[in-house]
Amino acid sequence: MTATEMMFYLSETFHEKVRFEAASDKRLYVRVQPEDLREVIRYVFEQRKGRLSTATGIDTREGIEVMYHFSLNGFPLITTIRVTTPKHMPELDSVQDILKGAYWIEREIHDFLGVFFKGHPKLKRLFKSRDIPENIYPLRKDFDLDKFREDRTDS
Amino acid sequence: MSTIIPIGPFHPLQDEPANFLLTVEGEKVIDIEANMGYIHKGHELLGQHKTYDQVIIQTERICGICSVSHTVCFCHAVENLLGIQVPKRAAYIRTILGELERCHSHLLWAGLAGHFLGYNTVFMWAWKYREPVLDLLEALTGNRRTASIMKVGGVRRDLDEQHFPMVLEVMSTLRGKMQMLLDAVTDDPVIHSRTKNVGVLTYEAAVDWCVVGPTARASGVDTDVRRDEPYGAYQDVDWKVILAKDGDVFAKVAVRLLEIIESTKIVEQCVKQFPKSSILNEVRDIPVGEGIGRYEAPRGEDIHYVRSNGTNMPERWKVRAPSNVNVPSFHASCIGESISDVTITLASCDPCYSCTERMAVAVAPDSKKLLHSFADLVRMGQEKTRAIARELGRPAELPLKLDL
Repeated sequence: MTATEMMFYLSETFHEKVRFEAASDKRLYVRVQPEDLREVIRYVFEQRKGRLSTATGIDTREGIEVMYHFSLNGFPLITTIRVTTPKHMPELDSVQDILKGAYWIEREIHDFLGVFFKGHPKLKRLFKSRDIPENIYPLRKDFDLDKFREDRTDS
Repeated sequence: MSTIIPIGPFHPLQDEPANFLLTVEGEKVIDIEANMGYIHKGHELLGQHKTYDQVIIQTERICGICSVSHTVCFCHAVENLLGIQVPKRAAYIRTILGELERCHSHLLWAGLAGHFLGYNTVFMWAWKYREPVLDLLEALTGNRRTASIMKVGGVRRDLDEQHFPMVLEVMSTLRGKMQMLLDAVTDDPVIHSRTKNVGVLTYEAAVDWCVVGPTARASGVDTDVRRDEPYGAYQDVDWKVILAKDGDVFAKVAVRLLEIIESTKIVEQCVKQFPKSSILNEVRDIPVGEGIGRYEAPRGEDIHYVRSNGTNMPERWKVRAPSNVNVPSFHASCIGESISDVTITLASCDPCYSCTERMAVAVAPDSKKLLHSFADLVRMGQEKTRAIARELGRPAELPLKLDL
């Protein structure tokens, strides 16, 4: 499947809900709204047989951006579903009941960026070091490494 | 009554710590929970404060085995961002080194799997055959493991063609030895009863948990980045994707051993048709943009995401190693197994192998008495093999033909 075909399928099913941001023949970036996220991911996983490779979280100026990268077995295409959630209350719907592969991935994003996934059964610390308190998120832009080091040596 | 068995996190034998909590009822495992992060090194944050060339040096040190895989994957991501191709000769060099890495990674795993099953001959032999592969890497790049040869746009140093006869010789010897190991494994009824239908990851579970690499291919999921998104020399050489249906430990052993044979063929063909061209497309500036790179590491699909803001440092660099998606599949494959099968099931997806070398301590919930250590778990696994061997009237070691 090429990026053009994937664009055709997605726009036919979701019309205005999906916005295509950039595409080459092997990489497709799709912007969705947080409320449509579960629906689009369910479609890509169940109907188009996508495999969730991973999800990347970035702290941007507009909010925290989470990107779900879907690979397709047998094709060179990676479909990236992009969603932004506000920084003061980052919250997204969990998709781990649709595909189990998101179970650790969501916990990892919660660890490092503090995105809360509604409906995740066990949103506990997974990869973050035990030295870092729960409410400090190291991949946020406001994380101050020098200050963090100082605080640690003080205590 | 159920007992919780913590496996890990620290043990003098292991390289990397991780902690698994097994909930067992009698001999059966009914739940498993993992606690990771004891060695989270913060590579992603570190990489955001380094230039692209420095990130490559750092990338090589992410994994103890996959130094070529992660580096090439990062290069793929930046090359995807830039929209450039590497010269043909550089692509061949990356392929040769990547396949040699696959050989030594799979051999290391085969040895450990043999140890967990109680076949220490397999352990000795597999690691003996691994040595010449590492020697080859040393001859070709100067280092046994950290090649330090990759660069965005190509490779840093050329390979010396005078080593190629040695490469061909080692590859053909290795193929013969692998065929022998494969015959020994497939003919042995003890290994059959010890690994068949053990730790089964069904096709549906493999799709649901999004597993990759040999773990997925042993369950019948047809995925291989080398074929899906051909990079390097894979389009020019003749090779095939190894698939198995059963999803048990035996299928994973067979897939890995057959993949070593395929790798030796790929290396041989690459060496024979090694092209002449430049080795580097010089890259000056990295523009604003984002790129995703994929690479088939020994354990499966490796994926890196890079976003650039136009400076000489990446704005965000995301690394996803294959074990990150393969390890959670324990939730599906370990439940319902007996404790003595758990070591080999945990080991079967090659979780950056050190993740399996855990100290396991079972504590009786009321008395706090120690029941099992990791050595005990391994011993239990080995004793089970010996018991089966006695039952079948077979020798306790594999009948490998010794031709030292």
